Amino acid sequence: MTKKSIVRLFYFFCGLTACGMPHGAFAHPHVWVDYYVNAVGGKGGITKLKFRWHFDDMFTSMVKEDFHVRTITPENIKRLKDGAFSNLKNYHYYTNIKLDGRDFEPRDKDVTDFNAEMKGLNLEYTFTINLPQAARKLDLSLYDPEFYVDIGPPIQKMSPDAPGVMASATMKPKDFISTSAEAGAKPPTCVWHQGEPRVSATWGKFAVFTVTCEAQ
Amino acid sequence: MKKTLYIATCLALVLLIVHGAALANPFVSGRPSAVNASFMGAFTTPFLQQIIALQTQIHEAITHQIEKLKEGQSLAALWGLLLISFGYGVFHVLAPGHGKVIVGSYFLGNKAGWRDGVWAGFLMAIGHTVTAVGIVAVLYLLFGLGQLAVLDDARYMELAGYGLIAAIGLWLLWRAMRNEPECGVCGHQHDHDSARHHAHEHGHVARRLKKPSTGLFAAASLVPCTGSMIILLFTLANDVLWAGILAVITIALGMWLTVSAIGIASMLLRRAVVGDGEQVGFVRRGLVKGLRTLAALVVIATGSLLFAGTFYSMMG
Repeated sequence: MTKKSIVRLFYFFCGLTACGMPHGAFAHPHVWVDYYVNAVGGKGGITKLKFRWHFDDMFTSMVKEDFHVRTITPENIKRLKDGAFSNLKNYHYYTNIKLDGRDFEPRDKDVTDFNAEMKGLNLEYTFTINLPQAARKLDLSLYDPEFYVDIGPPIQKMSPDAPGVMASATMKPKDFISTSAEAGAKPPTCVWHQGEPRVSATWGKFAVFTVTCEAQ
Repeated sequence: MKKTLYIATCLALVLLIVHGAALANPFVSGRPSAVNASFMGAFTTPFLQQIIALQTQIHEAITHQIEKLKEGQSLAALWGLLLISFGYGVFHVLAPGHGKVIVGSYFLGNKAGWRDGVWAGFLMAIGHTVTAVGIVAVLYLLFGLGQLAVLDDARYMELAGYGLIAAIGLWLLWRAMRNEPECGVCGHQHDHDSARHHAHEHGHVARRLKKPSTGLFAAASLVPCTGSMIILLFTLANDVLWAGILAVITIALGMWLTVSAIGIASMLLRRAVVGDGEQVGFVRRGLVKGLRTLAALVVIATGSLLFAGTFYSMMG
């Protein structure tokens, strides 16, 4: 074997590595949602979670076009609820909730107070998830395991990365948790932390932020 | 080759017409996938994630420019839109997907000249965006489907494209195993070991069209550019379609640049490995066969992985 062919073999393996370089992610998300949550303290512990979902411009535009929404009217809100919200019951509204350590998957009967409004150019949904029993401790994270929807807390924009859960480890969510109280109870205390990243079929690893609340 | 393309296109159109299966935007219909395909995601690298994140950000910037254009049609917003669209085109090729892998591996495995690389880039960029424009025109404007439905139905087209890519990969593998002439020269009937391997500066488009690589790149470009479709739908909804069309053309130009560059880079790598001349010597011949086999395998893997990924994500 000459020196030249050794050099060539070296290049060959360079090519091999280049080709073998992983390239398997398939699609990017189609919908981006920033979520805000309000944990409500009530009798016996945390009783409700009030959500606000803030949609990206593209999804807003498409939904408005498809459901013929020019302005928000009670009739349009009903149409949006039936056409572009109710089906999320099959995805338990992308929530992963633990009540005192036990999993809880909300169904449509648990969701009330649906409302839609425009905030500037963006569509926003608000709704309440009523918990089946009051919880002393609650863990909550929102994500779409298929990553068709990039849903997560709003991210501080100073980062060079994009919004949503595709946040990298260096990114921090901002001001998405609030608390309140009903029936003379105290509001719970909530903190967020970054959990283990999830792996989706269509995209690969993405960051998940978990909110932990404790009743006072 | 033309026949295969023809059949695949017809098949895709039939699939498009009998649409309405389980797949859909989760907000509207559908259920979570029953198949746990999370292993597919394990192929992603942090680099690709950065690219995707960047792409998302560019997407957002494009939306904002279009919104500005809609408000008052300022020239600055138009230039901004075109500049960002060009950048989107450049980065779109680097993002996860099939384009760079197919062009890169094809030219690594098969002898070709730089013009072939530019031609491949042209085919991919034009095809990728023209398919997107076609889908929007047919499904949205002609059939009057909803915008969300258009994006979902486009996935049938993706599926057809990926399947075809895998099939062409198999065919490339078959040729490599049988030591048939490389695709810089195949399509001509002549003996294998001649020095003709060297001569392939075909300048004519007609001749180029006959090459099997054209089939591969055309199959690859059957896959519609989702980004372009979203921009078109968005500009349609905002009554500035002309801006959307200009943006899509600029995206195609950006993609052309990157795909050509990747093609030419892998040609240079190939030249470094096996040299430019005749394939003499045991090592050199082995390397050539190795490269060809490798290229075919990468094309097969890309086509079938993307097919599987799209298929899984479509299952309700």
